[in-house]
Amino acid sequence: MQSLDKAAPELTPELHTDTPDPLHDSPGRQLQLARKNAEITIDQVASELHLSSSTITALEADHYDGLPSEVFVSGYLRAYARLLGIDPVPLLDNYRRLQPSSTSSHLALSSMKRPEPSNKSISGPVVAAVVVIALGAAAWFSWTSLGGSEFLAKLSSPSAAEEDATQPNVNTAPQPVLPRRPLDVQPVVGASEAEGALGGAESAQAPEAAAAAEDSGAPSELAPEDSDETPDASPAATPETNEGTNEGALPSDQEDVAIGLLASRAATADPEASPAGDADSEAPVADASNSDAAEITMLFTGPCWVDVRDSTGEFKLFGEMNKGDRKVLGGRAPYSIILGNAAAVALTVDGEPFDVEAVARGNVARFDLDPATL
Amino acid sequence: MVFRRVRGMFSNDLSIDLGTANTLIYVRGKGIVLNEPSVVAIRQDHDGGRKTVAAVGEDAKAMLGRTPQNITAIRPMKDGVIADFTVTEKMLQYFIHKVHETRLIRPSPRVLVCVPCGSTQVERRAIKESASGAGARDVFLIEEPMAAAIGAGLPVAEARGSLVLDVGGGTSEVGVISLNGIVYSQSTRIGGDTFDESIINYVRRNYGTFIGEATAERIKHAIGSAFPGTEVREVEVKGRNLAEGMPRSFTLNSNEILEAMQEPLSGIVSAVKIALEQTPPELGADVAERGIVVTGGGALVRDIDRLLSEETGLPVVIADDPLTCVARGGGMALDMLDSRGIDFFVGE
Repeated sequence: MQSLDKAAPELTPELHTDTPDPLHDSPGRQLQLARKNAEITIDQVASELHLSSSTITALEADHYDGLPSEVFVSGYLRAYARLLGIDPVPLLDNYRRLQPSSTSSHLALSSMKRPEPSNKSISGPVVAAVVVIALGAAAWFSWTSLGGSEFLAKLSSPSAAEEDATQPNVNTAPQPVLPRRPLDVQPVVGASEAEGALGGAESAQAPEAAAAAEDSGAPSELAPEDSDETPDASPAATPETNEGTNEGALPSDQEDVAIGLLASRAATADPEASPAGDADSEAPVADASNSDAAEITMLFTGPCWVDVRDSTGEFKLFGEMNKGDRKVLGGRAPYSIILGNAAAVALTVDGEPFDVEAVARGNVARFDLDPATL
Repeated sequence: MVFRRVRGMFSNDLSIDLGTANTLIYVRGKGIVLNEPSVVAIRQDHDGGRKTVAAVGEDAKAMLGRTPQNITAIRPMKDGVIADFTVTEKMLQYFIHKVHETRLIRPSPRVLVCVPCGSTQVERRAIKESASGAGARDVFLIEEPMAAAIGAGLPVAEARGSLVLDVGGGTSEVGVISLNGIVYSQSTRIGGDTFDESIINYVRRNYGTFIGEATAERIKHAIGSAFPGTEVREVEVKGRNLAEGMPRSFTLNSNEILEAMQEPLSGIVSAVKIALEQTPPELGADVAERGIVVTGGGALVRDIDRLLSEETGLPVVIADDPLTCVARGGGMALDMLDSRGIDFFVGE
């Protein structure tokens, strides 16, 4: 401003007021002064720029509200400036200063809405490492707590896990004990075997069993009896169950591993969850129902992951079967069956083939089977 | 697929203006981060040997027309669409990698690619596949006039007609847009490359001298204009004299270049006129009131707005930073992707 003041004495006062000042005058004012200096009318400008006179008047008055969006206004200003021989760059800068542009504000808003994480190059690998470690830990935990193949199966069939969690049957409680080694299907535990094989462990757990039975409100007369007889608790508690299961499971005593697993073992191995009273009361029922139960056989023509539970939860068949394996289901119907590779299973009910493919969704069959309703 | 999603967490969404002449990449929240020529230099060690990428972008463009036998500088895009699929994929891969600082994890961004409105289904599919092959997690396509209009700041969502002309390297696109949709669009295979070719032809015809594409482009940038001006500018050019076979230098002026570019320029003007004829009257009135917006590298040709304005009798406005309008518009559309769905995008 000072420099202009210094220059002022050289100019006539009239010229000084009419000379556009690109630094301080508004764009409209600059254009108006330049137009007047060039002695051009608004109508002439309008016809040159193919705009209406009202648009030119609004531009000169800096009234941008009635004009179209910013891209047009800046274009008009540029064309007008060029027509009058003014440098459009400072004029447009001036305009943008006066009129915070909608375009740039839109850009600013959009970039603010989704701020990119800063120093991404540093945080990226760190976050990646944390994610990988967390995934690894989760996988390891699931593997160890569920058992390898079951975990794999649960990954492919999440509903199986839900079923496990939601099944209200008390007898499902022993589950955690059983599937630790899902691949070595347990042989039927006869009375003597149970005594021999499980004796040590069971006796060690006996006091716990007694205490648990008391805690869980089991009949008080049963608890001491169980704890006294702990070494052979399984045969004592459920001889019929074993027999019943054996009747169901052992007709198929070929090279296949007989399946079948047992309340008695559950009662001793995990006394907390299964009070002895339950096993006692249910055993005869199981026996009765199984004596005339239909024989359900599974013949595997290829590798297949299997999860079969009977209605009581006492009988289970877990694990991956191989080609040529043949299994006969024990326990009580109805069965809840999950077959990982339905195409590789030939299922027969009393010798009658059952179409697994019909109930399979994709390669996985998840269904309930009750021979009585067939 | 899962890994792509994980990698996607470490990638920025990109809007790519895969142009015949230049490829621009807009990163959400960062703006234009890459503006390089769409040129790839391929090296082949011996006849039938393995081909490797020698250079991409600026470096490769410097090699155009100056390569030894074992290197070929290729422009994989022609007329706005893919001419060489494999090379385009390599180029995109290079550019996508370049805009991601993270080197540890291979980027897998969501990518929006701008396609000419006149491109066929096959050409669009090729662009989509190419971007997927370059590592994109999801690929969206948007028509160039729409992206250009958004990038120029036109009120595309309003119930008012806006006419946008995008003069690119290989194609020029005219689009009339209203309510987030394209009412009319037309693509002509005239663009910056056509201007260069006309200059080459003009010089050969009138001076008996052969010049290369790079020289023609330099002439266009220096003295090219679309409307006769008061000022005549000159440039000194060197080329091979066809009669003597020797390199010779001579001087060209802006009026000669204007004459040389007359044909492609009138092609663009007639495309705009046809668009105005085809536009429904209400929208045509909106366009007449506010004017035509020009974007793309061709908008930088001196006085192209005056030419269009004189020819159509309508106000013509050059968008701010016209070269990046399409990429910026694509970026803004990408911004709106999550909030407003896929209004703007086109299928294959």
